[in-house]
Amino acid sequence: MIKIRDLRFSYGNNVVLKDISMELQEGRIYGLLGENGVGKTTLLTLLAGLKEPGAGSIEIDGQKPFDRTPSFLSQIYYLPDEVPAIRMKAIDFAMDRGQFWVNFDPDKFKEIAGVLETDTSMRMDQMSYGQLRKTYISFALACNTRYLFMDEPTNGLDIPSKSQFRKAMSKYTSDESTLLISTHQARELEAIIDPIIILDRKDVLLNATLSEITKKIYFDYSTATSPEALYSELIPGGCIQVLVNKSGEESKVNLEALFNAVHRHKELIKKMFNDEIA
Amino acid sequence: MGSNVLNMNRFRRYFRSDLRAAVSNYGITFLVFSTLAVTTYLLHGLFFLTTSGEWYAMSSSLRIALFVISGLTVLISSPAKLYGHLTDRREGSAFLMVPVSRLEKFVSMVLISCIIIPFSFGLIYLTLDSLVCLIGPACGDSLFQIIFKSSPSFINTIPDLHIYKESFRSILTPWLYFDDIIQIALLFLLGALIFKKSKTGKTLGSLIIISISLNLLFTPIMSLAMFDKFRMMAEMMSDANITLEAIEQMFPFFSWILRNLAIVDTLSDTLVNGLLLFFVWLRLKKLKH
Repeated sequence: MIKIRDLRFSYGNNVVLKDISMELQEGRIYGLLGENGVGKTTLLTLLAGLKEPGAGSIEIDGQKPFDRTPSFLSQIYYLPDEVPAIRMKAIDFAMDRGQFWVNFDPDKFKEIAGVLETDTSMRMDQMSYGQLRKTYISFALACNTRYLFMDEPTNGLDIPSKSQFRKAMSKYTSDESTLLISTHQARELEAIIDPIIILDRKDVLLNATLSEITKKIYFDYSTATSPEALYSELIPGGCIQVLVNKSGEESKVNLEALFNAVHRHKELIKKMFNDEIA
Repeated sequence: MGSNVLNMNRFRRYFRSDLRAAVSNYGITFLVFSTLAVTTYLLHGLFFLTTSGEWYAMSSSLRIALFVISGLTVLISSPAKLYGHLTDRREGSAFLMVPVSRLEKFVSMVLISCIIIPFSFGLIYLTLDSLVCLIGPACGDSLFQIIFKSSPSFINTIPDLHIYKESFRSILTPWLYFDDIIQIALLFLLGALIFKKSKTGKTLGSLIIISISLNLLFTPIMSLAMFDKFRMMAEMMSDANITLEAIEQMFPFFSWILRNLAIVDTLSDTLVNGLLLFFVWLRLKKLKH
């Protein structure tokens, strides 16, 4: 389990994360959403032990990430938004690096690379950006770590690859693993992420499962607009509205609409979901 | 997984992987510089053969200069090439993220950049030079013979040193250069881990600034405090009639230093190297992306 308590981090005088607290449960694929510059990447790097918290604490299974002990590092993998093109064949890279992760499975690496249509015999510095990313995604999943942090994993992937990525994520992550995926492309990952974390500048606006969200919020796809809508947007064939769920009726979550509604009614949403927690 | 500090099996695997990466990243440059003994010998000979019709071997002084320059180039450029990427997030965080202890990463890094690269360079270069000199008789003494067998003759020309000649000679033995070689590699390794860009240049610049600052600070202090003693001691040492016992009774501390220059040199180098190792370790510990 990941426990974040009053986490604070700043770059010089620029405070990025201020008194952030949350818990991430095991066996879930969290989607981390937020505007540019709210600290999504910073949070991921803090969780991966690449940065030291300015104040507050992070504990992952009782360990402090910044200590970067082998026992901690073998339980996590962090896939950054920028990946280096190493002068090695993908398969050699995987075998060379994978040996340090106790649960790394080379066959799984080859299998996922096959699903993502990546040539593992190709040198990584000769791959396209998309191919390179897919190689790293295959490697990240093949490490079979308890915690996997991914920063914008679908960036640079073409349309078929994005679909292959979703398939791979569903098929090759174990039930015990906790994933935290930061993304701007909420619609593409809608099918796989649950719960949703929406980060604001110096605050967590929402940290809830889809079922918790639909209990509180109703997504209306009809043509009639309501003045009570927290957010509404025209879509082909009608409109989508985000409303407070008064009837308890279930609906299908639209992440982009949810994100916009949360941003327009920050205090209301925080109150709605914090009351639930309390 | 084993210990979080040191696991020999894990270290062995990591060291092998680190060494493979070093060969991949620096192998060609290393090969070019370490084979310069052969390539320059051939080029030099061929140049004279085509211009004057005769084969001229390179002079010893030119070969020594080339060995020192290429050795220094390898020594100061390899740390930045091998570990400079650690400060660049865009180059990936693999080093920080790989499940190996900080101690194992540190030892592997120091072994490769401060021991394996400089000493294998020296070994390959000097062996090839010896082979060249074995095949081409015009070559004369090999660098191995020059470095390890010859005694530095210039000491005999300095009259003030007649009493402590052996002590001075002792610090010029090649074995005592080893810790200096490690020191240079450590300095540039630390520079590679501190500076984000132009690592080698900035390390050189910093060293120049630090040495000028220290000179400006300590030279007046030393001059004020010890000038008279040094002058008196130098005068006494240049006097052939003065006995060693008389000097040592008057200046016991300086005499001890002069008699044990090799020990003093080794101790001071060990102290500096220890400090440099500590700073490299600290930098690794605090490295963030």
